[in-house]
This record gives sequence, C-alpha cells and structure tokens, in this order.
Amino acid sequence: MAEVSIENLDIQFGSVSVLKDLNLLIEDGEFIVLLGSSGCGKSTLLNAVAGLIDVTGGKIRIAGEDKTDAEPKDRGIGMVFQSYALYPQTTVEGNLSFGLRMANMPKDEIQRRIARVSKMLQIEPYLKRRPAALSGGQRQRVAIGRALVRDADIYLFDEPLSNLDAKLRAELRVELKELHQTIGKTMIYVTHDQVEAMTLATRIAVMQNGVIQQLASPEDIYERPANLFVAGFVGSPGMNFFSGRLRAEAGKTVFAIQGGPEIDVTDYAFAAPLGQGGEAVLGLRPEHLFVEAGNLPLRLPFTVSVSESMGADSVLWGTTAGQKASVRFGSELKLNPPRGTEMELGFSPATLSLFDAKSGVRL
Amino acid sequence: MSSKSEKIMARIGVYAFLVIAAAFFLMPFYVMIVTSLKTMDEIRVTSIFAVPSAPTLEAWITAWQSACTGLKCNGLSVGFLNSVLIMVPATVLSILLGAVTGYALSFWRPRGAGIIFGVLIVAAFIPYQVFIYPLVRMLSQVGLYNSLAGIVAIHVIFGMPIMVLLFRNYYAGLPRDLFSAARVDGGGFWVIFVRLILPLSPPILIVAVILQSTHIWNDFLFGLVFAGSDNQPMTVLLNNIVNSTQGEKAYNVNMAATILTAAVPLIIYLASGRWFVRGIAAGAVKG
Ligand SMILES: Nc1ncnc2c1ncn2[C@@H]1O[C@H](COP(=O)(O)OP(=O)(O)OP(=O)(O)O)[C@@H](O)[C@H]1O
Ligand SMILES: [Mg+2]
Repeated sequence: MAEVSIENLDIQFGSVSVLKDLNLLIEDGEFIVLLGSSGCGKSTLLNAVAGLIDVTGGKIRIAGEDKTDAEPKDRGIGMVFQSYALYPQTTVEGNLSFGLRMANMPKDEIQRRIARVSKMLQIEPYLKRRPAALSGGQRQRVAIGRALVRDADIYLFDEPLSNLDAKLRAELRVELKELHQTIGKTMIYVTHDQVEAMTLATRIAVMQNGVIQQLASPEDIYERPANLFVAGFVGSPGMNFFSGRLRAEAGKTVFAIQGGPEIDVTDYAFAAPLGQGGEAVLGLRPEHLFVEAGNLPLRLPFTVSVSESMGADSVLWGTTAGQKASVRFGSELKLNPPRGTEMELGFSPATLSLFDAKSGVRL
Repeated sequence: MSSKSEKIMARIGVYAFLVIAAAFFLMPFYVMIVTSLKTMDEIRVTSIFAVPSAPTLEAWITAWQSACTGLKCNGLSVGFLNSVLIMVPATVLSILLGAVTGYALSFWRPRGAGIIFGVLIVAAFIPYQVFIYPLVRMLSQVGLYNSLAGIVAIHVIFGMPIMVLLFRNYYAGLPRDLFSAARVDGGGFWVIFVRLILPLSPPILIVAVILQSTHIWNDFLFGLVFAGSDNQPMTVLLNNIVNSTQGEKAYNVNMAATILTAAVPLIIYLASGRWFVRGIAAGAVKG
C-alpha cells in the first residue's frame, strides 16, 4: 500500500508563496496527473513529495507514515526528470545500477533487476553505451528504467516527454500507460500537455497559481469542469464561453445570451438550486455544437469568419451574437462555408456548462 | 575587389601581427638564453643579441649548485625542492577544499550560502598585504610561523576565494536535476561528491591545477614572510642570487637562475595550454 497524503502543504521560496494550504490524497495504484500552465507549482509539489525541497508548512504522508522531513531515498520513490538527468560519466548500465550500488545491493540482484527492467523497456542493446550516444527517446527510456530498478512504491514523473517530438511522445505515452497497468504502482505525473493528462490519468489535478482547481477523473474534468479556469484550460480549441444572464420564470430556467437569443436550460443539472439567477457564463465545447442541427432541442446563431481543417477534424471560427465561438466537426462533412455565412447550430442541454460570472464557479 | 584576395590580405595581416607579437615576447627570452650560455668576459664585449661564440653550461651549473643566496652558497637546488614541497600539498589541498565548498554552496545551498559566497568574493579583492601582519601573529600563536605547514596553510587560505568561485560557478552550470537524481538514488553529501560530481569535474580541475600550481610556484611575498629560512622557495632564493651585492653582477648566472625558476610554470603552461582553454570553455555537461 502506498497512498500519498499531502496535508495543508505550504511552500515558500523566501517571501514568495508557491503552494498555499494544498491538500491532495492519492490512492494506492493511482495515476495522478498534475496539470497546469507554466509556473503554477507542479514541479514544486512533485519535488516536495520527493523530498528535494524543504516544505514551509504541512505534512506529507506516504503509506501512512509521516515523511515530511525524510530524505528522498527513504521515501520509497523513483523519479524521472524532464531533462532525463542521466549520469553522463557512466554507461546506461552504470546509470541503472548507480543507486543500487550505493545501497550496497549484491551484484547478482543488481544484474537481475537491470535485466528485467532493460527487457521491459527494450534498452538492452544500449546497456554499454553512454547517455550522450543515445537518442532522446532512448535516453528517456533509460531515465524511466533508472527509476524502475529501484522497485519503488511510488513513481514521480516531471514532464518526462516534453523534450521529445510529437510522434515519439505519443509512443512513449502509450508505453507509460502499459507500464502503469503492468506494475500497478502509484504514479504522480506532471505535465502541461492536456492530451497526456487526459489519456494517462486516473485522476487529474488541475492547478493554477499553486492551488488545485479541480481534482477529478479526466471525463469529469472535461465534461463537468468545476470552474471557468478548468473549462478554459482543458480542451483544444477551448470551450466556447457566452456571457449573459440566467433567470427563472414560470417553472423554466432561461439563459439570455448578451445581445442574442434566450436558451432554455431547464434540463441543466444545476449543482445547487438556482436562486435569483444573475450574470452567468454559458460554456459549450466546440464539438458539442452541430452544424447539422437535426432534432437537437437547442439552437444558436453563428456567423462564419474562418474555417480550418486539421486532418480528421475541421473547425469553424466565427461569432455568435457578437461573441467569439468555434465549432468542431468531422472533416468528412466537407464543409467549407465562405466568410460571412450565417448558420444555425444545434446542441443538447446535457452538454452545456454554466458558470457564475463573478466567481467563475460551476453552477 | 574579389573577396578571395581580401581574405588573403586579412590572413597576411593576422600572421604579421602574430609574428610581431611573438617576437616581442620571445626577444627577451632569447637574450636570456644566449646570455646564460656566455662567459662573463664574452658578455662584457659582445652585444646582448650576439650568439655565444663558445656556449657553456657553467652558469647554469653555478646557478643550480653553488650560487650564493645570502650566507649559503648552495645555488637554487634547495629552493627547488622547497618549492615542490610547498606547491604540491598547497595545490592539492586548496583545490579539494575549493571543490567541496563550491559543491556544497551550489548544490546543498546551506542557510547563509549567499553570504558565505559574498564574503569570499570580497575577500578575493582585498590586497594581501593587509593580512600579513595579523597572519604572522596568528601563525606564531599556533606555532606554525616559519614552517612548511605554515606556508602551505597560507597558500590554501589565500587560494580559497578563487577556488571556491571557480568551482561554484562550474557546478552552477551542471544541471541540478543530476544532483536531484543522485539524491533520489540514495546518495549523501560525500557519496554524491565523489561518485557523481568529481567525475564530472576534470575540465575545471585542470584549470584549477594550472592556476594554483603556477600561482603558488611564482609566489614570492608569502614565501619570504612565512616560510622561514629552511623552507624558502625558489623565487626567494632567486631574488637573493640576483640581488646579492658582493662583487660584479654575474649576468649569465642570473639569467640561468631566472630561467630555471620560471621553468616549472612554463612547462605547466606549455603542456596544458590546450586543456586550459578547453576547461575554460567547457560549459554545462549535457547528458
Ligand atoms: N528555488 C526557487 N526560488 C524561488 N522561486 C522558485 C524556485 N523554484 C520555483 N520557484 C517559483 O515557483 C513557481 C512554481 O515553480 P514550478 O517549477 O513548480 O512551476 P511548474 O508548474 O513546474 O512550471 P513548468 O511547467 O514551467 O515546469 C514559479 O513561479 C517559480 O518561479
Ligand atoms: Mg516544472
């Protein structure tokens, strides 16, 4: 059992507070992804779990034990760094065995572990090479291998794939997912790539300015973002936001888009009963808007400005009641309307999100 | 104007400059060598540039074995040994201390690391002379004044600022993740230093060895003040030979003695110049 419990964690560098009263409970065997834009404190949080930086306040428990002040080696962790951080003066084999030799492990046990891991990661052919003689993908495999030979309970990854090209990144992503399914260990993974987050995570923690904005499964993060930040951060192109007013009238709930039509949102699953209504933001993902409205109950006007083809998908950019909007659809529709075309988009009440305009919180 | 002929002109200019510069520095050296190979009689009657008519090593032998350095007349040989005995331990110790301190400051960042570093930098710019009298008192308090250990200690202490600066800056260029990885792998302070950091340090170690060994070898002031009469380094003896006031000046012996004293740093520079430039240029280690 290796759950990680982070309680009221505060981290300051000098007078700069990077993490504030952060709480996070990671279950045994979970794949948690810390997602957020640059500088939001993801690496800081990961390094705190690893014991590489001093915490200002709060506790870090691993497998129930207080490890707040424990040395990195005493935490049962393995770590993979963005820069690989392979020891340049020694071979791949030397890199893999470095920690084991320092722990005075018997030679045959070291050999056994290196054999197992290098087979799993397919790095056997390079064992005698130095890191400088490896490609980026090979280096990252070795870096993962170096973490794996430690037989840790928890693996920490700090943007391990961000230095690789797109194709290799996709390959290694799948390998990492398989790896997690094979060994079933707890993994904490930092990235600002939302595709990695969506595909790998059992749960995603979306961070902003040192605060976790939402901790939920990828589906929940995507379908039911907890606030405007999460809604805007996840998804590409980003979610459409229309500002307007919510009001209740005659047993119905209506959202009036500023300068646009009124939309019946009675069927929306409000988190709490709507009181007075008020200023609000309606969020709709581009792929939940349909060019061929069919029998969808809700409608929006749309004026095309640009169309973009991205291979399998295409995107129309334009405006709805003067507010920016985008629509995504399968390229097989072969739609390429000229600028200025007016059209009607359909969508279903199940796919929309509503946020309080002031606080940004999901309604 | 074709760019080709321009290039040739530029090249000629560069070589002309290099030849003149080399001649400028080599001329005195040439004069020293030819003078050291002449007899005093010949020196008196020929131009300083003249090639010796009957080259002789007599002056060299005198300089090494029997020139008078004050009261004794044993030549430079004693000083050579003293200089080696001072240079080797002082170089090794100051480099080791500088490397460990630089490593601690840049990777372990103890509280007050910034202040320690600042103090060292400031210390590097204070003229030595300021410290001499207090240091004489301090060393005699602990019984190290006029001893080999004392002069070695002095060189180690005065070498610290530059050594720490050198190593700290080199280590600051190493990726910090490397250090973090070694900590996760279970390394402590010394294990990481010995197994990870030192093996990455040869470029800067070479620079440090060159800087320290030549600097310590060339030192005159500390040797004169702190070493004591039994441990006087070669430079002090050279000064005694050259400045001895008795009789006529033996230019040939003086020249030979000077070249002998300068030979060690000269050889170090010539042998390691390539490594020196490489070490200075070595940036972050990629891996
Ligand atoms: N040693 C430090 N001293 C001072 N400030 C620091 C230090 N390390 C990090 N910070 C600050 O803490 C904040 C969070 O840094 P962190 O490295 O955790 O960001 P991140 O989320 O990992 O970003 P990225 O995606 O760019 O890696 C940043 O604003 C950074 O400037
Ligand atoms: Mg980071």
